[in-house]
Amino acid sequence: MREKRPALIVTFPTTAAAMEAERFCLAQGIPGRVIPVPREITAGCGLAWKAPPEAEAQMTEALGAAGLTWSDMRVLLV
Amino acid sequence: MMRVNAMGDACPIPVVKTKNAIQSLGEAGGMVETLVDNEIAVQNLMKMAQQKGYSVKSEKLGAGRFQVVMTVGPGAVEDSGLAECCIAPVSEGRNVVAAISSGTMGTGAEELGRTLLKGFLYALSQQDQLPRTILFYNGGASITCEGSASLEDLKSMEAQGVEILTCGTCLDFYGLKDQLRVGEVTNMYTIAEKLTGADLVVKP
Amino acid sequence: MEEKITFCTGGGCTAKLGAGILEHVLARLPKGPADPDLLVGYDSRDDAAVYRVSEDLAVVQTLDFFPPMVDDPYTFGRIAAANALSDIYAMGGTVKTALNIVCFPEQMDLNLLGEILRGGSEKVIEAGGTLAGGHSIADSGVKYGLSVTGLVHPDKIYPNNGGQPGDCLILTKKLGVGILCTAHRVGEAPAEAMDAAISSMTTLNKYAAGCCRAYDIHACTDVTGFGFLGHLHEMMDGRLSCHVHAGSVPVFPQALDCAGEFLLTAAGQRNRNHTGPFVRFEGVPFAMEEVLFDPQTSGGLLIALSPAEAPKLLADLKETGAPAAMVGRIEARREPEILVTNDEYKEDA
Repeated sequence: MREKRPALIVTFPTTAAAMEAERFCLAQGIPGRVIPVPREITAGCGLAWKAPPEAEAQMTEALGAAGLTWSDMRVLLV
Repeated sequence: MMRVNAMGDACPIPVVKTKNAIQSLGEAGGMVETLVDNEIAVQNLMKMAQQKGYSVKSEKLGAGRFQVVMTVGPGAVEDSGLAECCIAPVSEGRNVVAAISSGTMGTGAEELGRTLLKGFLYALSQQDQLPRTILFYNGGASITCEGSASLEDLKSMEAQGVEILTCGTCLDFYGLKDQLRVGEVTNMYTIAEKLTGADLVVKP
Repeated sequence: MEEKITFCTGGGCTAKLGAGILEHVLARLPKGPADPDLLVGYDSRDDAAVYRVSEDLAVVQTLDFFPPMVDDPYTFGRIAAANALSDIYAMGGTVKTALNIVCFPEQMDLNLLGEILRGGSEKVIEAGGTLAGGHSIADSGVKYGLSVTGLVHPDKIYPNNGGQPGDCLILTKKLGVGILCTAHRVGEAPAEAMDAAISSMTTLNKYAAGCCRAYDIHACTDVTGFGFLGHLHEMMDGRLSCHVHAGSVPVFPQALDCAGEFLLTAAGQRNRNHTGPFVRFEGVPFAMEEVLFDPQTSGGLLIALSPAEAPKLLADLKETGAPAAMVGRIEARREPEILVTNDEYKEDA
């Protein structure tokens, strides 16, 4: 089995919102990347932002300041 | 029931194919039917079944056509299919080849397609059973080049033994020859050989 | 790469017709009037034909060819030649001349053929013989071998059925090359095992036969397509029995591993079908049984001689670097004809 590591997973209400957040984060140089939403969170199809666990405060602040919405933000083993 | 067609295969290929099929049954076990074209192959399959303790029966279906059915009980499949003597490459069992022919996954909105392909390659890298080879051609050639968001996933798969091959003609056409950042450059003969030699070709 | 795949389709002695089929056909051949000077012919199950030309000289003739069992053409040539030359040694003869037998597809690269013949020629020279010609046929697949002519003194022929109760049995090469070549073909034989098998197959039986000259050899044969037990069965000649100690039989350990993974040949199973009824195994693991039935390409000599001389011959053989071993004893006729136990051979066992 593959070894799992903790990561900050941010989910969004819509795919469009996730892609908008991705554009914003990449433009701002915020660490992380888009991945398919892990199975542990939902069986549905969606996109999530994956970042180092310690980036939670930075993410909350940056997304909030830009007026971007997100559904959930938590640290998971992925 | 799994079906193995070993008609026209010389020993030990029928046994090798059947072993792979049994392996893919996993913990739950199940039945494997093997078709062979000669009595000696039947005998070699029966020997394996008897040694492994699988229940087995054989039947002559017609001239040069024999059926061997093995029933593998739950938990009978061992973790490693092959002894140490016998090498086990990255993807034991099925030879799975992923072919990435475009910079997007599926047709529709391009931005979504790019995001989906990125997501696919990430998800692929997280599978317990990795493909043996990933081919990149035409629009897919950019995925292995500088600026691709998937380099990290591809490098991690390469480190685990997955062969990453990008079409040289395509790199040349798109002016990406100096931009390749993961895997090797390949040609159409190898691409054709990999695609035709695969047990399963995955095209997202 | 492509060339190699078509070049090697699984050959060597695994490509031999089964003994069962062969006996059926040979038994129906018209024999013609018996020639008293034909000392060894079809009537015997021997390795080569021997014809007496004078009181102190007989000609030994043999012919052997098969499809490639390895990818490299030069190596194939060496193995095929060593295998063909072996029959002369198994009769106690010396090699004089050899003729090439070649089947080769017209469209295939002729350099491959050149490499095969170079390998064969080197072995003929090593045997002390002269390559004197040959015959080539355009065919769908590659096959190569030699027709070899040797000489022997009519009183010093090694028959394969001259064993006597009490004789010791010595085997001069390791068993398992058939299984290893087959496993290699499906990519499941380790490279070092394949190297060891190739080294064994390219070793001439000349050196082992040379050691034998100092002793009174009762019976000798080379272990090839019918496997160790198949050739041992022929040596028993329907009038003898033997006890083999599997623990002492020299084998390639990786061949046992591969047999345990069921990388088995069709020829091996045909051998089991043919010889199995004459054999009783006691406590012998399945993989070892398979190796004992495994068809050998360019296998070693199986020698029967008196227990007084056997240890000396064994010591001589080991001195040449051969992995030779005492593997059992011949006994008076009983059931089963061949008893195989899993223990090791011991003096006076």
